[in-house]
Amino acid sequence: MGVTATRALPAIQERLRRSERWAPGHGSHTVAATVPLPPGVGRRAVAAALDACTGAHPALRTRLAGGDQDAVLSWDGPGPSLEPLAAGEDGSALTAKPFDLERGPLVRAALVEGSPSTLHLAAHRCALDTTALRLLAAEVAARVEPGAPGPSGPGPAPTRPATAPAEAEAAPGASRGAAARESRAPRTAARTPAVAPGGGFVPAAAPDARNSPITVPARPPAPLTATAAEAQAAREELAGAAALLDLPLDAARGAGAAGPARTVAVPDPDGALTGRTEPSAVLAAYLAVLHRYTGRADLLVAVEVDRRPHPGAIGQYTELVPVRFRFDAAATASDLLSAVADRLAAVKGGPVLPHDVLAEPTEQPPRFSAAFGVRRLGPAGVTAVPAAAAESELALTVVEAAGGPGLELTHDTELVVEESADRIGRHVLTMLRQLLDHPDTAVGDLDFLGPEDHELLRRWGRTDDVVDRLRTVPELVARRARVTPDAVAAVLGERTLTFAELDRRADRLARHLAAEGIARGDAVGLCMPRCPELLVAMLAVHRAGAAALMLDPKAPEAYLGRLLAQAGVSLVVTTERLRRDWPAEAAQVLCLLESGEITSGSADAADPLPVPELDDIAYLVQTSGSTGLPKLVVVTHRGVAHSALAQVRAHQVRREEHGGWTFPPHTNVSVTVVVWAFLVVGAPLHIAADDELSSPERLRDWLIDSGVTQVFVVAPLAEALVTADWPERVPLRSLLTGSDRVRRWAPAHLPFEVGNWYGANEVNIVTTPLLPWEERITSHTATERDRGTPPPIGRPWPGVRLHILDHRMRPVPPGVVGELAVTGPEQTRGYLTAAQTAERFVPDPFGTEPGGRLYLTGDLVRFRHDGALEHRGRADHQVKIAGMRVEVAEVENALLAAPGVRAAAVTAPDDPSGTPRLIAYLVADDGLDTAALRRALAGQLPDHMVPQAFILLDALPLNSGDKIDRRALPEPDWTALASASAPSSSADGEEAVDNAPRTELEAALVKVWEEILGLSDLGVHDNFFLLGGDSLSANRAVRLVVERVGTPLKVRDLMLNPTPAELSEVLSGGAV
Amino acid sequence: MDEREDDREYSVVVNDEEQFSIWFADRPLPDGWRAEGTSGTRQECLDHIERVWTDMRPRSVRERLAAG
Repeated sequence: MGVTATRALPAIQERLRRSERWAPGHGSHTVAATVPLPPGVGRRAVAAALDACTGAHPALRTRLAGGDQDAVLSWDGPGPSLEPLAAGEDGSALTAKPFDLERGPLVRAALVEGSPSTLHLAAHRCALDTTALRLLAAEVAARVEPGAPGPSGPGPAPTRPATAPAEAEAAPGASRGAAARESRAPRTAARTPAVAPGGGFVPAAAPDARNSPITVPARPPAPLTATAAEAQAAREELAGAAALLDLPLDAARGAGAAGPARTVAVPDPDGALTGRTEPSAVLAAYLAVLHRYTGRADLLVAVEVDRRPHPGAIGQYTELVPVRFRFDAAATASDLLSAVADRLAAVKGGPVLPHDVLAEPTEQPPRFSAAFGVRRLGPAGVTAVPAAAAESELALTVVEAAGGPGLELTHDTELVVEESADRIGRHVLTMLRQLLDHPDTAVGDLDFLGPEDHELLRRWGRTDDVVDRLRTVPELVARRARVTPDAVAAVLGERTLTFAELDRRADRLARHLAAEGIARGDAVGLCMPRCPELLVAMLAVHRAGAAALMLDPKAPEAYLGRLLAQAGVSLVVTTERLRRDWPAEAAQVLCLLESGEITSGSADAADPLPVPELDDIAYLVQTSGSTGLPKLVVVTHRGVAHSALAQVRAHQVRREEHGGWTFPPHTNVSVTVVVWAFLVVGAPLHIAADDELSSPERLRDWLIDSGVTQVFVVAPLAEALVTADWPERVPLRSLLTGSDRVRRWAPAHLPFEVGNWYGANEVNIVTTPLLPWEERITSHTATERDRGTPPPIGRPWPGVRLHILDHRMRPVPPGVVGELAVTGPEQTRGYLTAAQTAERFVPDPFGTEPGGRLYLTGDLVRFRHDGALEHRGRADHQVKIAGMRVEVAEVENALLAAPGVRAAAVTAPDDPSGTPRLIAYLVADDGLDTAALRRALAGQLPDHMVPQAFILLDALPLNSGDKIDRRALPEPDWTALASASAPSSSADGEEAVDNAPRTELEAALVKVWEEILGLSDLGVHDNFFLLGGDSLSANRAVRLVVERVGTPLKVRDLMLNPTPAELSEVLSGGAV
Repeated sequence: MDEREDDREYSVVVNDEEQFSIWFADRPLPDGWRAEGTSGTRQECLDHIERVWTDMRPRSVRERLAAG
């Protein structure tokens, strides 16, 4: 006797077997059930019932015979034996040990004896699916029922239609109905018991397994798998589909297997589900919610399809069919419902797809983000996880029961916390109601957020912390000069400036400016390095009633000239060191000396000066613009004052504090965030000279030596700083970083706290990790879970109200990524240009202040499960290079203006080290000299906006609208790019590039490259930055070159001439 | 929110401070804003604003400065 038949491994088991190899013993491969037994049932009765079941159902003896390569499904393994379990133990002990797929048993049972006793069942999914386990549980329960015929007598039959168990159950995977195969699988007498109407006991038909051999056809019917053509069609249909969707997860997906699953019934207080609800309608609602969560039209959902030949078949019959839906948000609700119903019917009637239809046989079988299934309600008390749930992050199961359908949600508890899962379930039901109630509405217009969502978003998006009674910064600093005149206000190297000196010099320059004709409402250019004189000049401009146009002293003159023209500025204040030939538009230059003297002009005006008011303009700061010109942002005194005073409160800035200033002098961050927060309380500001920023070690030493207690450092530098060695005790207590996509957490053991905040020039500070202080999110407070994802940017800044919106300006659900929109006291007036302002500063539909405006940041963010915000990239074509915002259109326009360039597209992909690099794709005339192009751009754009590499293409990829399709641009080949500065004659690949040094100078430079970058075998066309160099290593390289070659050289020279060949030309005087 | 090149209709709107912006033509206007009269594509509305919004100071600031 015995079941000896084998069969080639069906797709379901093959998929599981491969999955088992990647994650041995993982919980998603097993099903488990708990069976409450009637009182008085003992161990012997249960064991006997189990044996009887094993005899009746060959699937309980499933094993995968034949080794790894040629595994076949066999039904000759051992069946379950009954293990004892101590009282209080649960069924998890059954699945704790991995199943041996080759030897079996693949079904396990354990009994907790008591009154009553509880039976735990578990199976590997290669043997049984969830329905089978429920059926088995029911059958065991029925067989042990007191009064049922004993196991030694004529066996009790299960509570199922006792039909053709062997044939049907020994052929798991058979589809399109076993009936189609019946002619090829002749039944034996033993397998054709009478079918009792309605199931139930059929004693005569129930064979005692130990006495009645069950014969199985020598060759069980093969599963009805897809034909080669059908499989090919499925592969083509699924090509490029993503199994993982950008769901609103609460943790990052790990590289490993899934976390423990939890299944909850979704409450339906409003009765969205009725007896007439089609499962396909629930699937349609699920798709609509997934679409709104992810913004994707292309949605892949694993649909659980039950292929059992009859409802009582015990075996593995559940297939997960990957189904790709193309979601049309413009379709009406009724169109969506009927389309999904048709699709679901087609999937159920379709063939069994090969296991490798989504992934190559050698790859790990994909886990799905979303799965959907339908099941019948099992017997009371029996619980088991459905298959769709086991192989997905988020599975929705429609549970069909006599009283009407219910909904279950199973979620990976590591990725989705309970609160989020409850919310998702609620959204599906709300969406279902919306679909049914509004059949003619476009599905993209349906609103599925509930009052709970809106309340949560309101609470997370604002703070009750208000900073009132604002005074302008010039007024506050003047007050410090009266209260603590001799206290130090600014320190640069050996030089210090007291509050009294700051006040006196600012007053003097203000009168001077007034004498030069500067009046209220004018703007004055300030082009100065980080130095005490810049503080003097800013205050002076404000006291003259004017606004300060902040100019980058390192920018090319042509660039600055355009800014002066845009702002209508006719007077520039600078320092002696930076005095230069200004373009004709800037008529007049004042030089402010370290001594406090002013070089030009004479008479000090004695007239009383105007007092700036909170809504007057304080600064014009530049931000990258899409038209090819930088945009100027109009910053008011209100914003600056609020920023300073809110920092004083949020960061607990006291007079004993020592501030640090490391940002470029002209930036919005410097003038509205960094410098005044310390001065307004009378604390000194320590100014870092450029040299102090040349390496993380120097910056560390400077911070320690100058006694800085709080400092804000741009992200790339901060990341290097926190990995330096620090003594155990330092004056520094808080280091904030931001203005970039911060990817790494600082180590927990540093002697100071590191936090990440966020702001935008147009609205200034938006979030902070430090509020509320008890819940601050820093390197000291971060939990292991926090460290699983990049540092969040914190919670709303005082006075800020923020919203996360979809592309139609509707709030997205909690946890979903959307565009950040902000309003608050630090909001600027906008840009100097009308259309750009109108486009980004839009009516605020959520506020209570009539006529209020929201600034659309273009940044993609989402709320974490605790309400902290995570930054998730940009919604537009802005990128960040070295912490500075770059609008790629501005770079593209400069490229297009260069001779020989016909088309250009600029992107900033991350290089293999994770650093974003500005890359220009060009269509150009033959013989374009990219080194010369780079130098030409350097004359017009700030350094960080000059592309680091050029990729020549025959044509730029265009989308259907004839716009550049940025996503279709080829991935940079970083290895090749690193040497891509070679002469363009090599582009056709026929001429090999000679990469060997030709001169002693080139050889020396190649050696520096190799030493600093830690690489070998480099050549003269190897690009320093694309090989991993950054501004810090560039500093080291330049020092080494100067030391060895003896020629003066600046970091900028290396940035603009990043290969030994190019730099050698500069050093020998050939270029520049 | 950036693939903003859409075919939807927008209106030019203005608030009490005489600050201009654009809004979806088929949606109610947020409180404190009125339609300026122009509608069309996003770009048409922005082009119009570029022409008509010449003094970008908020009305209250303008009046305060004029009052001396």
